[in-house]
Amino acid sequence: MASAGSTHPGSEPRAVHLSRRQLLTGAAASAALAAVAACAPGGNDNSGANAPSTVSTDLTKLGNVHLKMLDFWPSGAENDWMNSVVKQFHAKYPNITITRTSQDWGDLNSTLNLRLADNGGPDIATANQGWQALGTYAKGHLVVDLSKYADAYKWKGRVPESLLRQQEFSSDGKQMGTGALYAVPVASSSIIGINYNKKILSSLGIQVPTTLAEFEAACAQIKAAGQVPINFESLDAGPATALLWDLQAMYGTKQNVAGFVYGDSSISVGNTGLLDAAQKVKQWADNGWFTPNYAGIAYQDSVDSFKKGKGAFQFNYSGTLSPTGTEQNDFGFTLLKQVNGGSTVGVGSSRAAVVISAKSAHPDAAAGFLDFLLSRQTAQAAVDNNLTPAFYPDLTMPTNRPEFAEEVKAVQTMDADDGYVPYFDWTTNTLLDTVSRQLQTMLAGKTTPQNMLDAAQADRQKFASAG
Amino acid sequence: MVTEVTPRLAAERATTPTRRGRPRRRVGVSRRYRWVGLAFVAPGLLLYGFVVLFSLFRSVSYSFYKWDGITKATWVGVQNYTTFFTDPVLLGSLGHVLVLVVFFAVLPILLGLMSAAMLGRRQRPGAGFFRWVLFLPQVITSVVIAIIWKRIYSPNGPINASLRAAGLDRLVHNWLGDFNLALPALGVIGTWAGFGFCMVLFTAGVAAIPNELYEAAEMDGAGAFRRFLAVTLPGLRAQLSVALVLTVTAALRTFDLVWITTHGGPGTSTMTPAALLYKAAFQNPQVGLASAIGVIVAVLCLAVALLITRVSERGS
Repeated sequence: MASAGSTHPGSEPRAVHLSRRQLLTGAAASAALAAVAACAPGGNDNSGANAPSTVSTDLTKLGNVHLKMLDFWPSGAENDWMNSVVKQFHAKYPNITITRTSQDWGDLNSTLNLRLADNGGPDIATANQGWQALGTYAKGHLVVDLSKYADAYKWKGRVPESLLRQQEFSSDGKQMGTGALYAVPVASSSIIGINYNKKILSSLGIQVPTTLAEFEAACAQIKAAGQVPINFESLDAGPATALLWDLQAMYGTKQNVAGFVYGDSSISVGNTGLLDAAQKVKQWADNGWFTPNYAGIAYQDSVDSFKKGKGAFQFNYSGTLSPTGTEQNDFGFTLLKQVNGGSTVGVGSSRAAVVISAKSAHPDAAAGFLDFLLSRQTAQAAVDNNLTPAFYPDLTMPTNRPEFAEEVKAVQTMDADDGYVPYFDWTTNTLLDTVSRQLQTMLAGKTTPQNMLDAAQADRQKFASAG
Repeated sequence: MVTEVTPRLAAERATTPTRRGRPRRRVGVSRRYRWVGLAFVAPGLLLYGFVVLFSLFRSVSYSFYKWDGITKATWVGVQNYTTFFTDPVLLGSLGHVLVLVVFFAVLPILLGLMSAAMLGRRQRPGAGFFRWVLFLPQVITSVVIAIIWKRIYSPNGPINASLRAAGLDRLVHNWLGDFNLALPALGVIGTWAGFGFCMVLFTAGVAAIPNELYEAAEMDGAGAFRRFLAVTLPGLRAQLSVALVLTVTAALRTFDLVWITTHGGPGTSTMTPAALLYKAAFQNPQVGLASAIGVIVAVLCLAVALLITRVSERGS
């Protein structure tokens, strides 16, 4: 330490001078960096709509084409299904090769905007519908306007209107459900419905309910018998909203829910059945019809416990339960009729919306594959891999999977009735957050169903005013 | 004041006169050396500039725009910042991290000091084993910790099962699903995970305190507690400030724990700024707001670090 005292006095000013110079250099470099960084981000707005001027549907004449596909089906049945579809497509058009890259749903959705903007990005990609994803890509012209392909391939006649509409956006990117088509659905749908435990129902002599009144009568009877009527969780609030959306589809009309989601300002949230649905959820919770301590149960644990026999009913997305082996005989899947009118609607959509990147050099070949995704072969491949198909009522069905057969039947009812109600949370980019928080708060008795309604309306107004 | 100079600085200064004492004509050479030195540093500096500084400035600039990450951004001035300080959810998240500071920083440090006082000085039988066990959470990935604790806290998990077995049914709770308990429950995970780090830091610090000081204190009639206050605690000043800076900033940045266990729920009762940042940046395209949250958290972390270093230096 003492050696510090021998510091040469003359070195001090020099050290100061140096550090000032360093400081100045540093400041200049920082300023330069800041200047580079400070330019306004983004800027795909001016590139114009990405509609191809001419389209070709004769895929054999395109020569050898290699397409890159990015999808959120990395494992299990969905992966097997898509591999089989890609293989069949290549067999039909040997000149077109498709290479798949698969990622987890969340990972893909959080980065897809950047990858579509990349010149070396995918030609074809699966996207989520709604304003969080597809709406923003369409607005930023990251994806090809498919309207001309829709005409050339006659998609409008082949796909239910309610399903195709979920992929439409106006040219200014301000309205959903109208305007140009930016993605196509696939011949496999996913809907919200009710899984039921056959053993519990038959042991109590209960018929499978078809209306809300029958469902509630069944719940009361199951509760009286000391069993859990509805297996429910709310720790993972996102999946918990399935129950709310399904009830909303029973109370609201298809037109009103769709109108609200697609931004029709003449329809307020009060016309969408949300209040009735929220009140019903609260009432069921107060009746003690949900799994005890549901607020602390996680989603996957809830599904697992239902499969192990806890609870008579569970509101699920089709394909969630996917019982294996003999479990297929223990469970069923059903939809309830609407409270007024008695038709069957369901909240649902295609398993994915598939887009073509605006950067793709082969939009014709890519559109050919999109058309193939709507084909009977794709639907049959879905069935063969135990995924619910769409559009085709006369596919070859497996005989040994009764639960799956009921899911397929439910989806086919929706196809026939054009009964797809869009997911309510597509309305804005934050509505799922808003409503799922409100659901937890309401169930804890801290707010009322009316508060949820107000929050949803405020969320939509904020989104609309922000443009 | 001379004694305050750190050894490294002292050594540098000690070498200065010989270098500076060279004849004037060699200045050019030394200047050239400086450029050579800069050339050596350049790759690292460029990388740092691009990865850290450029991104930092970019975030700051984003925070003044309303941007969905794709289309042209619109300049909104400080609106994202005013949103942060007026939105009840965002503001509430700041309150939550203050609670987490108690669990992530204050408690682990207190427990770490206690265990250092007990394990640090003399080799007691089994001390190594205890250190190993208590340090274990530090080497487990945070995601794994969160998943394990999500299970522990579940309604039929080990905690509730033990309470029921002990006849304490009234204490059985929905730990992560309860509006009042979820945040403290998360905090306890942080305490468990951070305690081992503080303990190892402090035991190492205690070992470096000269034995003479303890002997002198003992001769002056100081008991164990007095020795802890008069010798151990001042001797650990440097470690304390390091532990404080690391744990407090970790609390301010809490993300993985919350995201995996509760997603910020129930309601928004465990929401943290970092979780909101993630939502804004990657789920609901609001890149400007996400950047503003990031800048605010960074400024807070910097302020905390500066404050703690300042206070600990002033005291010495």
